Amino acid sequence: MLELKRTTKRFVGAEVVTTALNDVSLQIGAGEYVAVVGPSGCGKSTLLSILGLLDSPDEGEYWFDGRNVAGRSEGELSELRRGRIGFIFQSFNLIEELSVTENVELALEYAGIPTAERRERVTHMLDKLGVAHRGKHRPSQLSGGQQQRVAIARALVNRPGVLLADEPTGNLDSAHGNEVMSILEKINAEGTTIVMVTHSPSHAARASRVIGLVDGALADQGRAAAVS
Amino acid sequence: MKLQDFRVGARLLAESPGYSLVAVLGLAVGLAVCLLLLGYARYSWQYNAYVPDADNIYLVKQRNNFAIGAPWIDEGPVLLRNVATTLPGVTSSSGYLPWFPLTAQVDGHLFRLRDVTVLPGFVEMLGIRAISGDLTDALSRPDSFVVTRSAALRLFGTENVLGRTAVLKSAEALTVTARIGAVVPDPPANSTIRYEALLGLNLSLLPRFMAAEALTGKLGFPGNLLLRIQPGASLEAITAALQRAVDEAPVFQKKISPEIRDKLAGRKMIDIQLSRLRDAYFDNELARSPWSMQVDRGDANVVAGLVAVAVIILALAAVNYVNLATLRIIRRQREIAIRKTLGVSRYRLVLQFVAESQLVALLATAAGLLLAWLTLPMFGELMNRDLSSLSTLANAARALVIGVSVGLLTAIYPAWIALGVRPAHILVGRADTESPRGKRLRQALSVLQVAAAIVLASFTLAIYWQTLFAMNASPGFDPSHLLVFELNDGIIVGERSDNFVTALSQQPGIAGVTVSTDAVGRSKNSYGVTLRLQNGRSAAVDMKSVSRNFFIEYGLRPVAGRLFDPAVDRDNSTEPLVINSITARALGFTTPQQAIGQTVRLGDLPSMRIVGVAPDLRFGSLREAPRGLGYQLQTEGVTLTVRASGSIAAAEQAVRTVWSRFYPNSILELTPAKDIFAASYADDARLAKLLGFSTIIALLIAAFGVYVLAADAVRRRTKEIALRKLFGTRRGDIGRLVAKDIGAIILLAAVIALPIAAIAIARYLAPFIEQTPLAFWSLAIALGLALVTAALAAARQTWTAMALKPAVALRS
Repeated sequence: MLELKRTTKRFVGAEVVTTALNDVSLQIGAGEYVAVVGPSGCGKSTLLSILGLLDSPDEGEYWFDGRNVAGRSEGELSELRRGRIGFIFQSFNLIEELSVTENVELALEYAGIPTAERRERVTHMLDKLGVAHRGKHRPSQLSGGQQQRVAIARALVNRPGVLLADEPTGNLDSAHGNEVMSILEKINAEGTTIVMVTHSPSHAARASRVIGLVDGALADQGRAAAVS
Repeated sequence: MKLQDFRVGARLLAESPGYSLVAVLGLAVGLAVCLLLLGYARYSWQYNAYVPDADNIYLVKQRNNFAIGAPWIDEGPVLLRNVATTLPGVTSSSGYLPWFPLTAQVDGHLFRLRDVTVLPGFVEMLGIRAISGDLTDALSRPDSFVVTRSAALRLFGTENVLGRTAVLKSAEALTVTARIGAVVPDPPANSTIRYEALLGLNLSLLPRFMAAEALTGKLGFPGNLLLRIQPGASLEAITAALQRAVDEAPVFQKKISPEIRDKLAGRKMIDIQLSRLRDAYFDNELARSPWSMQVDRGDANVVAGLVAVAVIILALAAVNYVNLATLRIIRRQREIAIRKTLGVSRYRLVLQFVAESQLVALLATAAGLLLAWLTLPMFGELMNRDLSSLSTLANAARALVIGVSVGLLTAIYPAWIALGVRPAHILVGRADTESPRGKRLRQALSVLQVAAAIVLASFTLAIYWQTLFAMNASPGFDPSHLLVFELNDGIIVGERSDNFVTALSQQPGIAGVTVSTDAVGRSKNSYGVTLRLQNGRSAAVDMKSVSRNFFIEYGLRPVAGRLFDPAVDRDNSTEPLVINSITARALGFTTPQQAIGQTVRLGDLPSMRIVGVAPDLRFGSLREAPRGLGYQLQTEGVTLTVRASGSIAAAEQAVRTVWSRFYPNSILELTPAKDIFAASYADDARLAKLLGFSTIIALLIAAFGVYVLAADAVRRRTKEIALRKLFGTRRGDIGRLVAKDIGAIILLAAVIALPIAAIAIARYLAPFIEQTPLAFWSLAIALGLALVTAALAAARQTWTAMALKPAVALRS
């Protein structure tokens, strides 16, 4: 379902060029649960950005759902991304000016879902994640765990095929972190492909596959285990 | 745009009251100033637009060439009314005659009424309809007349005045009791045809011969004529036909003696011209002419300049808002990145920010409209115009259009920044702030803000100083003890007026009374003549008729020879002539002394002998070059100047006492002599005040722009400042770091603004014969003001930078 072929991504500064990803080839099948591990600055977030169609590789190919999407414009990537990919972030990234319900509804609105159906799906998702009673609250009025559950609701409300999680438990205590991990396992069990970046070995171990990144390149499994 | 976008915008505003207040209020003030100035411009450009088919109404102008340098006036020989109706292309002709100054006495109180005697077809041409009564009947009866609504209120305290009577007086012996036959609306404030009362030709107040003259024009009397001309008709042909009619009219033919023909030197005695009624307000020739209808006139250049100021002030306010909104967008990059990850389209993202900008613009428009409405009376007073007609729903709708347009325009740049946000960078924590080009654009806009403030401040100060200089410029005599008034209301100059002058002279508190055709400081009643020496040298001069004690009461001493002296001269003696130095030089005398005893001729009049040279008096404003003057002994004038022996107040009281004895049915209007000069610069004083307010607003806006720049500079340099402090730099050095950024902006603004201001000041001063030496100091002061304003505006941010705690800054 997701395939990177010899992709390279560079960041050009005033005098320095940084190679964030170096000739990476990777396949992730539909329904897989993949953890990406590696030291800080190894390119994990860049990998996630490319997988999530937030960025384009400078070299190589990226096949998403049978289409090579490398080199597409931002508008085209946005179009492809809409409704197909969900994101969860370490810092939750909820919009403070919107209520919990409005935050979750935003994804459906951008996907052009009619209002009546939007309300139904939002209510169902918030119920499923146990935050329906906080629908009218603002994100800053929620605990960290609740905020992350709202973020997950927002990521899933469009029923995406792929969920990308960038350190989803990084800002949570262990109890809430485990809660989030359980939710991710349930989502994966329902068929959603998950790619998760994490620094936590125990959380990485809950994935079906672990990929290691070192200095922008894939490490082998042994090194991946050592790194993680 | 969706409702949610406005909801988000409203929440953002509610969560930051400080930001919201500054953003909305800043834009509101700019909009209010803009609306007032644009409203005034529209008011000016709409003068006379209320007249039905106004674009095709023309007024007849004439120029009497037998007076040297005579200006165009808005009158034409009345005989042309009948001539015009026979011309192809002229659909109707009418007019009005402001022949009589009218006083109305009601219940023992005297009121001056601005009246016009209407010619047939006038009310139809102007679309005047009665509010009550029968207009046609009222204008055709010998014992009735028409008043406007406000005149009715002024005279009777009520609008229900049909049938009420007043004693009307147009001259000493002409009075009649007349009944009000109709009440009409007031003419709009922006009309050059002003009246409070309409009189018909049959009113018994009007001498019969004048009523006949009004219809035929056989005696050559002038009137204010209006022609309705078909679109596409040849104006040249119509003008030529009217000119021919004047050239061939027997009444004008017989006035051309060989002497006058020589003086005319091939020119016609009367030139005729047609001019659009819609252009009358901005007609500079009519504005300069003391014989044209004394109505409000405007300068098209000044109005255009005010429109430019309006646009500049709105632009400054909009730039401020754009600066604020852009900084806000930069702080909201994470939110924008999230929306992009959720799949927002570019179009949808732009609409969101347009909605937020529109919300601020609409709030600002509402606040701006309220501010404009509250300050409209004060603004009208400042502009010396009745601007109450600006408060209309149509103008409010126009304001809304302007507000929405501002909302759209101010959304462009922030939306463009938002479109450029890269989610991949932001979400991994990379600071993706505005591009260097964008930063430079904002800095450039701030430079322009400060530059505009410097230009406005310099120009305003220069006008203010020049106006002060002109008002205080010596007129050639000390006006402080002099009062001036006119024998108006049709008072006949003769024995009775002579007795009045004598009685006045004998009053305690009055040192003397002199008669002249003009007050010094006005040039309403002079006429141009050519003085010719026996050797053939000649000079064109303005001739003033004065009584023999004129120079004594004005406290003047001769430059050469002697001035008129009651001990030596008799009033109305035709021989002695006093000239001024300019006339002496024009006649070829190298010193004033050489002119004494010389004989001059004025056409075929008896020769006059130059007995003295008087000091140069300023009969005009500082915009007019001093002219050659001649003084002759004649007491035909209606201007009286009273010298107070003690206080002005006592002298005024004495005048009023004697006046009420001699002229109980006439209204006295006394003016201190020094106010006559001030009146010449009233428009300049008003312009200076208006520009002063605009300058304060521009400075405030510029100050705010500097504040935002300083805040942005400190924010961008937070880490740098923290590291500098870590390595031991002093607070003063940090302050200088911030000041350097702001100083560069001010310097650049000065480089742009000062030359522009210098050119504008030079252009303004060019028409003045004498200029204040301080004018160009305004540039230095304006620059100083800008520096002080910027320093105050940046002070808080500079202090914040100096007080920054390195540990806290580096941790965050």
